[in-house]
This record gives sequence, C-alpha cells and structure tokens, in this order.
Amino acid sequence: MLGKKGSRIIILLLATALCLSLFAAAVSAEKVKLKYTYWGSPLEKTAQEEMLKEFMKAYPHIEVQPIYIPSDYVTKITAMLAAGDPPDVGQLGEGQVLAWAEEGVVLDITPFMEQDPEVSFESRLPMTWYMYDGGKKTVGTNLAVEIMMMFYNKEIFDEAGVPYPPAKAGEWTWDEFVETAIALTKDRNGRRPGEPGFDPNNIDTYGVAFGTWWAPILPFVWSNGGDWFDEEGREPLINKPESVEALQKLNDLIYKYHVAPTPTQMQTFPAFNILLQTRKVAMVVDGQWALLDLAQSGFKLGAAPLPTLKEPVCLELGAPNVIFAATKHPQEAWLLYKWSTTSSKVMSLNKSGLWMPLNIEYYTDPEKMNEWLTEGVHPPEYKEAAIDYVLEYGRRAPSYYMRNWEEITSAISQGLSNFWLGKEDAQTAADKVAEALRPLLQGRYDR
Amino acid sequence: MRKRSRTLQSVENRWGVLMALPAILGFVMWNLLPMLASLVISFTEWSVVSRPKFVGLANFSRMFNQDPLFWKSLYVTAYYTFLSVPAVIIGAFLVATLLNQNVKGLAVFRTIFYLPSVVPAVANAVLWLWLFNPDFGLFNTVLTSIGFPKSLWIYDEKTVIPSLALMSVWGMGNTMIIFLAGLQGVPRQLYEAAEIDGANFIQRWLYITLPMVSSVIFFNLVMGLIGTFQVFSQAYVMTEGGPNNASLFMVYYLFRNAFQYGRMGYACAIAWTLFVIVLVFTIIIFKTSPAWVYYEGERR
Repeated sequence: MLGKKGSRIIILLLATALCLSLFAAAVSAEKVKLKYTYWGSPLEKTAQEEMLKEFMKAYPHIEVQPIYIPSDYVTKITAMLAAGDPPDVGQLGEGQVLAWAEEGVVLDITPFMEQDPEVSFESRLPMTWYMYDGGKKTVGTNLAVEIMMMFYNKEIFDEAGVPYPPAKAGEWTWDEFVETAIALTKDRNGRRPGEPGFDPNNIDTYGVAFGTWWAPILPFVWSNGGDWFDEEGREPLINKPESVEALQKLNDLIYKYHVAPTPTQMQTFPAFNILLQTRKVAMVVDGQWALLDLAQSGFKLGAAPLPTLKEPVCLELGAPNVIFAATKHPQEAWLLYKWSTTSSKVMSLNKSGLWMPLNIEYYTDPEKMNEWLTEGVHPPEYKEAAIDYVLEYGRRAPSYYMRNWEEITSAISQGLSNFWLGKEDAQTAADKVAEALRPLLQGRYDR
Repeated sequence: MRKRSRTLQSVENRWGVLMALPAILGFVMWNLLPMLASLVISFTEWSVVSRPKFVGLANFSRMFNQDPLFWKSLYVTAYYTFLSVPAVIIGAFLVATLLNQNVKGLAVFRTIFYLPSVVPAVANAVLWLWLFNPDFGLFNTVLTSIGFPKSLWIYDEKTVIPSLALMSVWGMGNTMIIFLAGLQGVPRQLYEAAEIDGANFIQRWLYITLPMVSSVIFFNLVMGLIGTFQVFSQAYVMTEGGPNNASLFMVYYLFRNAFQYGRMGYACAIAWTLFVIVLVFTIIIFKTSPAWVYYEGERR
C-alpha cells in the first residue's frame, strides 16, 4: 500500500499532468489546423509528407493534417464535403475541378495572386492553368507537369542495329517511326514483319506499345491537324479526315504492320516498364510519370518526343491542387497551396522522374535544370525530348477546359473500342463517336 | 390468472421489441431513410457539392426521352438477367441433383462446387479475365484444339453478355445449396411408393422431385432475379461497360452518373426506375406462382 506521502506524490503528478495538458491544449488552440488531401503512389505519399513537414517547420503556427486517399478519391472528397468536413487544400480530379469551381466549392485564387507576387501567371508553365468563368478566374495549376512521350530500350535498338530516334521534336516523321518499329519487331523465328514467313501470331518483340485511352491517342490526332472537337468545344471533329487518318495510322501499327500488340494482348501484359525490360516491347508511348519506374528497371533507357504526322505537338496534362472554399483559414490555406505547388519544395518528386516542375525557370535556366535532372533517372536525351518538347510544342489537354469531360472520354473510349479491336474501320467508328459526342459538347469553362 | 398472463405477454412483447430494436433501427437508419432520401433526390439536380435544385420529373423525362445510354443499359441488364437466371437455376438444380446421390467423396464434391461462391467477386473477375483472354485464355485454347474458331468473349459486343452469363453459372454455389436442402427435404416414402407403382427415374423426377422443390425454385428465381438485375462488379472490374457499352449494366451506369459525372439526382432516378422494374418482375412471379408452385399442406 502507498503511504500518505506516496499518494500525495501521485496527486501532485496528476495535477502537473493536468496543468501540462491544459497548457498544451491552449498552445495548440492557437495553432491553425489545416487538412491536406492527396492521392498517389507510396513514393508520392512519402514526398508529400516530407513537404508538409518542411511547411510546418517554416510556419510553426500552422498544423497540417495529411489525409492520404489512394483510391476512390472523388467519392471520398464528395463525402467529406457532404458531411460538412471538407479539406482546406488538396488535389482534385481534372473532371471535377472546374464544375466544382463554378459551384463555389473550390476557390478562385486570383485575389491571392494579386496580393502575393510569388505566384503569377508568368511564373509557371503557361498551359498549366485551370481557367474558368470565361477565363477570368482560376483554381490554380497542376500539382505537377506531365506530358505524353516515347520511352525505349536502347539495348534492343543496339542489337537490331537501328539508330535511336531523334531527340528533337519534329525530326521524327511517321514513316520513319513505322520503319523503326518494323525493324525492331521480331517473331519467334527472328523474322521481321514483311519478311516471308513472318508469323504475326507469335511475336517475341513488338516495336511499340501504346494505350488506347485518350491521352496516348490525342497527340497524334493533333499532330495530323485533327481534333476530338472544335476550338469552342461544341462541334465534334473526330470524324473529319485529319482525325480519321491519324486514328487509322495508329490502328495500322497493330493490324497492318503487326508492330504493336492488340488491346486484348495488352490486357495480359504486365506494366510498360516490365515490357521494355523483358524486351517484349522496344518502345512505349506513355506519360512522363512512367520515368520513375522505368529508371529503376535496370536497362539502358532512352527518351524521345512523339513522332510527327504533320506538325510536332506535345500533350500536357496533370491534376490540379486547389483550395477548398469552405476553409476557415484562407490565408494559411494559401500559404500551404503556394508551398505545395512550388517546385523547389517538392524537389524529390521532380528528381525521381515522377513529376516535372511547374515553375518555368526549371525549363529555361540551365542551372535550375540541373537541380532536378538526375543522372540515372533522366536519360541524356531528356532535355531535348521532354523539356524542349513541352516548352516549344506543349498544348494543354482538353481536360483543362471542356465541360462534361468525363462523359466525353467515356463516349470516345466506348465508341472506339471495336475499332481498336480491329473490327471496325476508323470512319465508321469516328462517325458513331461524333454522334454520341454531340449532346455532350457543351462548350468550355474558360470561354 | 388472466391478468397475469396479459402482463406476461406485454412484458414479453416489450422485450421482444427491445431485442429486435437494433435490427429495426438499423433497417430504418441504413435502409429506409436513405431510400426515401434517394427518392427525394431523384427529383432534383444535385452534384453533392452543390445545393440540390428541385427539377420535378426532369430526370425521368431525360432518362426516357433523351438518353440512349439508359435504354442501352436497360436492354443489357435485362438480356443478362434472362440469360443468367435460368442458366444458374438449371445448372444449380442439376448439380444439386447429382450431389444428392449417394456417391463416394460426396463431401469433397459438394465443397468443390460451392468453392467459387467463397471467392471474392474481384478475384473471380480477374480469374475469368484470364480464361476469356482471346490470345492466351483457356477457353480459346480448348476451342482451337477441337477445331472451332476463336471467340473474342468479353471483348466482342455480341458475346460479352453471354460470356458474363456463363461466368455467373460458375458462382451458383448458394443457389445450389438451397436446392440441395430442398431435395433432401423431399420425403423418401413418396419415391418408395412411386417405385412400387412402377414409376421410372424420369417419372419420379417429373412428378415428385419437381413439384416438391417448386417452392425452392420459386425462391431461387425471385432472389436470382433481384440479384442479377443489380449486377455491377463484372462491368466495373472486367469490361468497364464495354466494348461499345455492350455491358453497360444499369447499376454500373448509375454508379458512373453518381460518382464520375456528378449527377446524383439522375443516378437516384435510375436507381428508382430499376427498383420499380425489379418490383414489377417480382410481382409477376408472385402472381403466377400459385399456378406452378406446390406447398405441402396447402389447401387446393
């Protein structure tokens, strides 16, 4: 049993603890609490958490609670909003952000930009701004810049004695690209397409692989002078000759030249980095973000801009970071927003190959460039193949401005599905898509 | 005496209600209220993040008059249901009949046939993706080895629904177990009497087994219909509604509207339309059931 003295000590301890906890509560009550939501790979999670830690060090009066939502992101954010407990700052899908901005759920950041010269339209890549209300307001930019480009396994090129594709945009014509792809494709008996006895059903190495969702396809349609729809976003153009021709040329890679796997074969294939590594495929059309995995796959990686049909063009895309309108601390939320979208604060992600920086000086200033280009991650041609490519020919994806974007992409992928399976010609499929698109084309947010 | 039993009864009643309260509350809070809410929402235009706007019957009129995808989804769902439900019932009934025989290793067989029902829906879907693959899948390998042409299975507009119906037969375990229980409940003496009267196997099956388990068929039919009308995961995991919207099931389409296109009001309208359709079919089955369902001890 405790003596009288013992129990007195305990009482003293308890009282001290109580005082301390009250004190702590008082201190933390002064702290501004923000919630930050985001998705992404485990690597992105770690990098984002580091970024937030640095932020809290720089602003000790702000406490940020990171909320990592790896799947069903929009559903969960919607639920948080509906429950009256929305995040302050966070990522948002391209398909939702501008509709939500119009509803007033996401803040227009132009008033903050007027007060704070650190963020200006000139400071970031010009195509990365999500504009709405006729182009007068903006929710901000992507969290990171991404482009569609070509990656390849140099070892396969070397063995086949095929020169690497040009790293400068516009120098690689479509016909040269097809030739390269043919020269790299090889069936089980080592025969190339076009050679007598070539067996298209048993191909060991494909020249190229590309996904059939909108982002790998659209840059080729653009490059040929076509588009999904007109400038105003009201009339479908997918069934016009330029667009149809580009689609047919991509389709020919699969069914005419047999240099690319079919969509059903792709279903059984592993990820692109494994395909390149195991020499199942020599080149892949993929997002810049793939570099993270590609760089760690242990082969000699090469990078190139996409081949040109008529004009060189670079499709730029990326999901935005935003400030939610329900935030009780707009000033602090702005500080966090600014921090999270400042390239120098998330340098580890830029260096890893997953992201490209937002701030324009990282593309123009060689010294700044060296801050993120990393040996062993970014291949030697990367500067020309990605940095110059986006700077000179970068064009924002329609996800930056189109109304009904999610439905539009769904209508396009459903309408073209038979075409990619080789069961329909380009014109028939494109005509059907155009019909399905017509009611969905309700214009742009920024016009 | 009487008074005491009445108090006992009321005490029992009170306790009974109290004991059932968690279930009642659960139903009211998690089923009834959300259902009523969704009915109200179906008359609004609401993207969840915005303020709901009352639009009357606009969602329904859009659905019936302006949305070809809705009709497509209705057709696809009905097509799937009319293939899958009979296939599952016939398949499950046949297998249950076999598993009701006295053979060696019966428990093993029963386990094997029930096993697919234990596999999670998504794992199931991934497995069948491989089976269906036109280039490397087992089905096409078998087809080509016996001299048939290859099929595109779930990658072809025309074959995607039959393929998915075929897949649903694989997951018939629960239906089969219920049939098995029904078969085991058929009194032996009926068979014995029929046998003495000289009835052969088919006659016994037709005049004893079938009528005696007709109530089980009825139950499985209703449950199967309700279940298949709500088919979702195959479209979500395997086909994404494709190719060319050929597997755009109603629940998948309403899911897309609610969570991808931000049209909660429209999604609720689809949900209620689906509910009414299922209700009508269920009522039809119930109304016709006296003609073909036999209950023991029923007065004719």
